[in-house]
Amino acid sequence: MLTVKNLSKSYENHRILKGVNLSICKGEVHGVVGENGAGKTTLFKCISGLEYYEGEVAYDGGILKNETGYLPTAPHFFSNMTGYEYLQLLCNARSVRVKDITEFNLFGLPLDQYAETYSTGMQKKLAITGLLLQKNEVFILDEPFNGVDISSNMIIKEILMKLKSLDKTIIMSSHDFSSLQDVCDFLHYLKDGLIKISLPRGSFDQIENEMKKEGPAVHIIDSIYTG
Amino acid sequence: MKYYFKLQYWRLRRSLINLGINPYIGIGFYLISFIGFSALIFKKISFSGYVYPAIALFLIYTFGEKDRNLFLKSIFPPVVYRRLRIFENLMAAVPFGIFLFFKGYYLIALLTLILSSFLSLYNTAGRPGFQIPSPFSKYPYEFTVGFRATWLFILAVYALAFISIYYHNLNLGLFSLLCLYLICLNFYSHLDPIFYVWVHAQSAKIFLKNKIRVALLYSFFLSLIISIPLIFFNLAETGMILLTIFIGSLYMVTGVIATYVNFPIEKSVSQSFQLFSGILIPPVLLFVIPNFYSQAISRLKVYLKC
Repeated sequence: MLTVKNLSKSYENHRILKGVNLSICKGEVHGVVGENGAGKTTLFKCISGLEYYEGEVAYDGGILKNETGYLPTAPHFFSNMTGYEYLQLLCNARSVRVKDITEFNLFGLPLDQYAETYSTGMQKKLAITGLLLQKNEVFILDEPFNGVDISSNMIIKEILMKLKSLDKTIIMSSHDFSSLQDVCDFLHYLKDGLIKISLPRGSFDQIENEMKKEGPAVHIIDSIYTG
Repeated sequence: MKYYFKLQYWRLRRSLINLGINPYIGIGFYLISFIGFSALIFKKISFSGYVYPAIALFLIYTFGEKDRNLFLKSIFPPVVYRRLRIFENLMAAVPFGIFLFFKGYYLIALLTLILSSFLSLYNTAGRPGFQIPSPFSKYPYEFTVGFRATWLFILAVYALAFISIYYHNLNLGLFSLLCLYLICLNFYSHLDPIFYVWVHAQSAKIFLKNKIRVALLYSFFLSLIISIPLIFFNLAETGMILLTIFIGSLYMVTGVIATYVNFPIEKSVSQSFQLFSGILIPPVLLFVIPNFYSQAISRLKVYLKC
């Protein structure tokens, strides 16, 4: 079980997270939604151990960092590094021995090409493949559907369902509400640095309605065009 | 266009402030360094009147980087974009032009300015459509990507080493060996994104040990192509050749540790000074390495808990 207790995070004087609480059991998929800048990425980085934070992140399965697969919104790839070498690097990092990485190329990526030259979606797929090859127990996925094509979107959903059936712990964010509805067991609405609403599957509409209420100020566009 | 140049000035100021340097002192230091560097070239290098403008034009050539120009083209109208590029190139070329003029190379100064304006018409083509094979793919990434970025320089250094053997010039051979190690050291000049450290399920000590091991092994492997023929043709000077390899290896160890000495931010001014002092005066490295090592371990421990 992964437990987040009273997690807070500030950048200089700006308080991003103000005491977030979450409990995620094995075999559950949790989604976090919120406006851009709500603190989703910061929350994920804190849970992963990529950022300092106040509060507590407890995990009863060992050293959380060493069993976590973190997918950033925009994974970084070094120039002149092929997709194959990226996967090799991730395997080496966790001392995972894979005889032939190309056998596990589930998205059919051109692994002999430089990862930096991949499209956004291909880069995301490569990063996901790397996390799977590492045999992680916990998956923290920041916008996994961002930039991927429709068929890959479906494959990612299938992967998530498979990981769920294998009792893996998954927490993810997405701006694609329908994808979250398809895969999540719980949905959390992050607003003003706090989890404002947490709901189980079947009642996600309440969060969607809440978010719609706080829609963008479209009337400003009128002002721009009318001068 | 005016705003663009103001923005570049603000960016320069901010990056100096981030390094803990007063912007006025930083810019002053840059100007003095430029004059010192220029004077050094004219004092030490033959045909400096041609080498100097070549350096200027090479620097200006980098402004034609593909992605940067795509961005500029996408935000500015074509006429403004062209004007901006010419102005930018001229701004970079003028200090070189003034120095050339001061040294009496009037025509070359004028040609440098004209060529720099013409270079604004040229943008780099971006990356080639093929992948360069790397012998270092088993343990990515520094040597894997570093080799691909510098293989031409490595070949040039090998050529220099073989010229040294042909002309029985051991000093040139040792110089090429050191150059090779400096090229390898450059592979470690970039700061890793936090993710690439965090992702390792290792303690800070093991992580650093593995990085040093790979760096020493791969750099030694590259150096064999120079050191074996050098020893073969200069058997009496084996000690000197081995000492050069040892100094090169010390450079490598320092380079790897220095990457993490202030992680996840860039090295401080004092740390950079220590590093450069060590490269210039290798015995200093014996003091720098332990100091850097303890600092790097404490920095890495934040992200590598085991």
